[in-house]
Amino acid sequence: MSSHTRSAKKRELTAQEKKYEKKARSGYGRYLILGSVGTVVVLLIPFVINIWISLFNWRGGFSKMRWVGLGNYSKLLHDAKFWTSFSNSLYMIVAMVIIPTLIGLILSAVLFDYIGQEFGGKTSSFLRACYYIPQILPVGVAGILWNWILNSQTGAINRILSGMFGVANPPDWLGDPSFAIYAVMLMLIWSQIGYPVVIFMSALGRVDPELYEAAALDGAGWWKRFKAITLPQIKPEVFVVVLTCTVAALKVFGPVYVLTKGGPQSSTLVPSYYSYINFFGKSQIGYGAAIASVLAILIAIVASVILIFQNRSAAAEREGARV
Amino acid sequence: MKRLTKAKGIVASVGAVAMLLSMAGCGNGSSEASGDDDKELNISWYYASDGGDTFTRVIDQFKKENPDIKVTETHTSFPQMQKNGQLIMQGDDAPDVVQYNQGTSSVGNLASQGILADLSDYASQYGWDKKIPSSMQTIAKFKADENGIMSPEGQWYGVPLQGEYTLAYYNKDLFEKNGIEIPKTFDELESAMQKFVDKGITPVAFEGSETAAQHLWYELALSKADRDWVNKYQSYSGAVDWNSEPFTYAANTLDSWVKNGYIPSNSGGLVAEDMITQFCAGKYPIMFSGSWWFGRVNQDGKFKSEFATFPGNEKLSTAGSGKLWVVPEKSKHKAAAAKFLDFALGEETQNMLGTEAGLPVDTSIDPDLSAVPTLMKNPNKTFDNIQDKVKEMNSVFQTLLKNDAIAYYPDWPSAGMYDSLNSALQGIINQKSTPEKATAEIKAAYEEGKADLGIE
Amino acid sequence: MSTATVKTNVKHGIQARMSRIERKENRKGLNKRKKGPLRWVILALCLVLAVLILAPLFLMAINAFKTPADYTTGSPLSLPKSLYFGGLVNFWNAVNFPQKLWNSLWIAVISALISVVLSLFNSFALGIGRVRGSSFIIAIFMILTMLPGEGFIYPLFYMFNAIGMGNSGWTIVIIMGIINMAFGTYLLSSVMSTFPREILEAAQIDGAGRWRTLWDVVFPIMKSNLAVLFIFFFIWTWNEFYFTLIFLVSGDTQTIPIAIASLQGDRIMDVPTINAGSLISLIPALIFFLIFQRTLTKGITAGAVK
Repeated sequence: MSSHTRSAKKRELTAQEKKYEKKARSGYGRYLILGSVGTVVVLLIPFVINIWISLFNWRGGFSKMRWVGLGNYSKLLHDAKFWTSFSNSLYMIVAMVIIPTLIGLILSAVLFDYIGQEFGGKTSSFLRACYYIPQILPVGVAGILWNWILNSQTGAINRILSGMFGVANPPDWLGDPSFAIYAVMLMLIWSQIGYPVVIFMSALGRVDPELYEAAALDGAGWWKRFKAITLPQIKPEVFVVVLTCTVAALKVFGPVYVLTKGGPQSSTLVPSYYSYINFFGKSQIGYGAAIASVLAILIAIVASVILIFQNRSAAAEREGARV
Repeated sequence: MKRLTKAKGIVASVGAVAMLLSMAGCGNGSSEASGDDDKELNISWYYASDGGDTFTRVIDQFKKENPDIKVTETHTSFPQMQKNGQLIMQGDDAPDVVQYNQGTSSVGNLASQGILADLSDYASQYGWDKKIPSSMQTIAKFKADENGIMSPEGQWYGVPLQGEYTLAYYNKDLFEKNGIEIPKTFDELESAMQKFVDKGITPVAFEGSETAAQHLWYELALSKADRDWVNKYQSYSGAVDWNSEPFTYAANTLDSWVKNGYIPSNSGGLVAEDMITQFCAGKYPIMFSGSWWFGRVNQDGKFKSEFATFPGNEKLSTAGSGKLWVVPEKSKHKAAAAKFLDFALGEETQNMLGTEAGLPVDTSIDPDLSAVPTLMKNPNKTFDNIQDKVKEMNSVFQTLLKNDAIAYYPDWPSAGMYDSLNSALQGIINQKSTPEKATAEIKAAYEEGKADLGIE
Repeated sequence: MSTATVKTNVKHGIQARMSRIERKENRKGLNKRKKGPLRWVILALCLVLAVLILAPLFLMAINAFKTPADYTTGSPLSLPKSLYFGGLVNFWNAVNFPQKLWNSLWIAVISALISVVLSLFNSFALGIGRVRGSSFIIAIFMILTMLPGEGFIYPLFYMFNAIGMGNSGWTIVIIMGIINMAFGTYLLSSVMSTFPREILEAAQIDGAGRWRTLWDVVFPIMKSNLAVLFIFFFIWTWNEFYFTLIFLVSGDTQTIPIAIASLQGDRIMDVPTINAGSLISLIPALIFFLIFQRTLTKGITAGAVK
């Protein structure tokens, strides 16, 4: 087929498709009503009000609001703590997105396609439940437990370091500004791993076992099957995990609150915690609202980038499938 | 089916509109005239789950004596209220009487926002202003119109029921075993700590994440300060000179204590719970901390212990009231709330507090265990066998009151101080910072808090 | 063709596919592949990781059964000298556990159900219907839920107080329901956009309307994803700390995490009680997870449709 006729046919198809699509698309709108109304009331309106509040100097409660326009935002630009908190977000992304997603990919594939095959579904379900348990634990309790583990004098990690490896002066994990962020990261990785494992494994449940079987019969090794079947099949979920975890990393609060309260010397300060200090500690509601708004805008940008990327990849796939 | 979905959608949108409309009217805070009905009372307090919670018993006795008042109870905790007190107390369902945190940064802040009720009338009506010593009254008074600054000239926005002070606990067994005398003066304290270090023992159980470090820092500063300095620092009565001796001395001394090995340099990230468990386990001979650990040290520490005010700080000491009790402006049962507070300041409660090292604010109390009503007796019997020690604890506090030595806590002036003090002092503990840098950090936080309050 | 026949046709097709998969699976069970020492190494590695992950919970368990004195004089890492159940008793008495359990349960279940149903509706319109601007709508949903809680707690608090819902579990049901819904919408739409068109067309040719297509075609295939969402939503609402803390202000409406948090009281932390409380509080959520995790692997696969 010449390229000319091919493209002509394609154009024709698109026109037909359009007509078809229009018909196919009708009647779906009403399914969005409930969700949209809820979103507007619970999320959108408060969000707009929050931005409105950020334009005032306000101590909260029944006290007077004083209009400052963009004053809070220009103050932010010169606030060193604000910048520290955002740069710490990068560490949070490593601990909550990159490491857990990579480990989660390998683990879920191993559990589903190897342990599940070799030792049965019960074994893999059991292991999955074990990995997921930290997610069930309330963060306040997790904080107490990790304080014991990271305690500089009596903690499990330092006992192992000094007892088994003979480290003379093991680090003061939570008290030393050069280590505290890694201590927080460790707890985050621990609590986060179960999430991608569960999502990826449920995604793998959608994959036709025949595919694996056929590949195995063709002599494809585990790694090859992982790359050729597992990864492409669970791509939507990978995007979901990356996006939701990135957002969770940008707004992480609980672990910082229970472990370090942003210290020592602001070395573990994160935007959410900084906004919290201003909202509820210092009663600088307007300034806190400004931090929250900036954080929201940043999150919106990051999320949009990921979503655009995901849409492109999905579109490319559909194209590929059509040809 | 279609119709059903549509109907649902309509219901939901009507609900949304209703919400919007009601929101529009919420800005000015519905100020219902206080149709005071005294038959109901919701009390919210920091609950201790060890089975011997003090205020559960106070409330039980109150209920018995006031059967016509329907009391509901809400348990909270310090971190919870620190976070949410402000919002919770603005709600229509706010409790009627609430245990809350002291200082300009907490009660003062809410008073300035109009969230708390002015209790001055009740104070004179019930005579609280006669009963409570003046340095303790200051803790209860705030200038609501001047950003809620704690000040002797303010109005009553809170009620203190108990005292609190920081002191030195000594493990007598460890002192005797090493042939070291328990210190009476500051110089003796330093030489005793040096002797322990010489024997290879780190003397002080410590932590830098909660209150121990900042209380010690303040204690050291107070040893070189006077009441005028305290008023400037706490009530913004004049400019604070950050190059003055109290500040330089406090930071330098703390620094030298770390350098000399008196304070463990890896204690910056520890919490109070770590400190108390290590002291009770007999790992350290000395702990500088609050009167609130008295019960724990005597119950869990399997050694003879002694205590005294911080050596050299008999004239000015890190001390204050226990948590303050406040009444939200929205409460519809203010009279009942005041009645409860007066009950808690009355002889029964104050005497009971006295028998449990709870440090009554009523100085006329001579604690007597046999006078405690049955409902108020401590089921854990924690203090029954150490009444002589409890009395001693009480008399030390009474002495501080008589000396007018109550100098409050270092984080009270403004809300950011608590975190900033810890952050700065952690730098000294782990030796990543210098005394000058730490003082500058504290100064910056203090000035920022001052500016946030709108004080020039 | 009547809708009833459509229904049976579709059902029949799905059942046929299911049994085909099951047969395959059975066959596979019979001729297992070669077994080497490697499989044991991999299993051991997975188990070691599980032990590492569970180690902190082990700490919690041993400290839940220590006497306060044992805890104070020993180290958190040492084993209890004797089994002590006082912590459990204290916790039970202190927090009126059955009531807190009930509060947590109904709030989490209803909220999770609402979010799952709404997510299914939304994603049906967005992922399958490809309603105009669907990516934009998904993006808006997602971005709004991503706002830090501090950002909208003030307006929400005034809003719910204004309509007299200040101290009610329904506030949490609604707020968490909507927030979780956005996540569910995003996840399901992503998955549904890969939904095989052939099935939908087949259903359409058979005369199935939107509503019937949703429940008879889409719902069965998405079951596994919906189950995952239900678990997540349940656990997220169960553990929700921020909104519950602010909205549920009295003892009779509070949930378990709040009850545990209020054990810390003022300055004095009773560690054995907190650990004991956390331990029994963990059990309902864990049971819930274990029950529902079976559905995770049971879903019918969309990819199996050829």
